[in-house]
Amino acid sequence: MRAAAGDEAASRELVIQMRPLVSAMAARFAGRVPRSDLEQAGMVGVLHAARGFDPSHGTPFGGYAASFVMGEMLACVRQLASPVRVPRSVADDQRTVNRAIEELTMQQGRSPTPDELAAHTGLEADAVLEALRARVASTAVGLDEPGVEHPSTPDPALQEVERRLDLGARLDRLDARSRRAVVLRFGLELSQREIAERLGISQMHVSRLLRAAMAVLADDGEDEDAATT
Amino acid sequence: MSARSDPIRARLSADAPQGPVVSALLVVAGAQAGLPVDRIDDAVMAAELLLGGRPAARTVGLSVRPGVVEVAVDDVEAGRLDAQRQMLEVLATAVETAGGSVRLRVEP
Repeated sequence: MRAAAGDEAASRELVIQMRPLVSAMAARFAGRVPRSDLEQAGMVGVLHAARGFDPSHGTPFGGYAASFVMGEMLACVRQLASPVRVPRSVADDQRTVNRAIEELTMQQGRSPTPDELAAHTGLEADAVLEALRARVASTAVGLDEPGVEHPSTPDPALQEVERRLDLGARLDRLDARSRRAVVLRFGLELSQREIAERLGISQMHVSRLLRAAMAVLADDGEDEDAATT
Repeated sequence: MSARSDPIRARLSADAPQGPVVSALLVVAGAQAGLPVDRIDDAVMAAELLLGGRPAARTVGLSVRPGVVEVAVDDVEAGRLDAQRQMLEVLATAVETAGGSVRLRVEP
């Protein structure tokens, strides 16, 4: 109840208590999308559930929250799992490469090169390239697909950066998380790795958010051109 | 300056899937140059910004050397370049323009 009322300490405690449930549910989607993204989506579900939970109904919170957690995880899978059909072997290599990107980025503090990915995964260089091509194709997805709604608290510092960014009303077309990723990338010029750390998501997720956002921003740029000619 | 001086050059028709074609080439070019994956992503996003918008035939050139990928696109509308320039300058190490030609250099 305190978490529902906005008590941050209570929210943190709730997240810690619910971590085993979220982790177990994330395991059901193992290998399809990065586990860190699933668990974060699950925690969003926990916090959503806390807002509407009424203990007087007699239902344990875990049972009540499970459907919220599952809903957020399914949305996360829909958003992140590749909509582009590729041969199974390439899809397997793509998952291996995606994991390796996350691991090497954490180890090295920077994004790996394709050669480093080949050395780390044991895949042939051509297989890594094929996986990266599939990755690029799978990230080219619009923002209108079902996604996770993330509650966002306005950040005054980022709002100031937003004002300096000359993107005007184009930013209004983006959801809160994509908008934040765009502002961090183009306003503060942070790398994908740095943005991933700030937002608590994987680098792959950041790449996907940015590319989808760019498609929206690029289209709007065209509209603006047309409007001025 | 234009794509015409690049070792890899392609004339893409207006109805060709220009973004996906160039993106696939940039993944290979970025790997050959030894760029990290996030900079390859940046190169792909920058090229897609230039190639989006109204369908039009365009010439695209690619140049690769260790640590550097350059992509040049001819026949980019001036208004489009102006609208995207701020983002292009973050994604690419350097952005050069001359007439309707744009050359992006991407380094680690």
